[in-house]
Amino acid sequence: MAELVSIEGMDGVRRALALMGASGRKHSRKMVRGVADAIVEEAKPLIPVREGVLAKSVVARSERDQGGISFAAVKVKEDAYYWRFLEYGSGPDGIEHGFFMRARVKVLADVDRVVMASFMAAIAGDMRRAAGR
Amino acid sequence: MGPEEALASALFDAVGGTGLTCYQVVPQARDGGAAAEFPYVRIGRMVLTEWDTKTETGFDFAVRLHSRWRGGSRTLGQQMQATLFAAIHLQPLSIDNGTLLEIRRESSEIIDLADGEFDGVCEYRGQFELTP
Repeated sequence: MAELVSIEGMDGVRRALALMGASGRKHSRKMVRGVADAIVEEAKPLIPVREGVLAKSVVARSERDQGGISFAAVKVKEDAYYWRFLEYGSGPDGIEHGFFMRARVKVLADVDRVVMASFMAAIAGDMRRAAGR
Repeated sequence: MGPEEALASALFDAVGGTGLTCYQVVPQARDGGAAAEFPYVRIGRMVLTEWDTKTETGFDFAVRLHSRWRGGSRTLGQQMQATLFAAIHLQPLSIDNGTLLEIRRESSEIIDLADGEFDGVCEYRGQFELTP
């Protein structure tokens, strides 16, 4: 008889990851990266486009763990150095676009769902691999 | 007064209380340049996200305060940012038709602009609930 496991919310995910040992740490890194990915996805449509260099230059990156805590970052490649002038409104148009700010607020307001979706994708991947598919 | 206006007004009062000049929209000169009195603080991009419980409605918010100054060093801007921090970070700002639960500074940086201008950007985040 299959045993059902119920995991609810961020705290549930956190407890489950702690019980999973090395596999949990791997999934934790993926989930933190998933939040950064979600911010990138939300930010890209908000970025003003002329030639599209900036939108193409925004990426999510996993960072080195620090003190057992996973980190990820949203970064802008060097050729779009001017991103901060658009983000903060000190560019030629004088508009504070705030694409990163708006994206971050939106993702963090829904971070439970983002983390849970990322966790479920990771677990489903493990199950597929275990089943040899 | 709506929640965005109430929050902006609370920040405007808090910044004004420090003696710094505060704008929501920087005045323009006839030639399109800035007619603002430097140094000044501008209330920048503000993002509110509504939350509801059974009994309360409120907002998470993020807001940027831009300190703008001209000169040969960053010191004045750092002093302005410190003044704003003392007046706003974890302070009980008065919000019309609402109660501030918390406001804290999340980040602070200084961007060099052309012609000896600087933009000191501080991002504050917090929550407030509406008075029923």
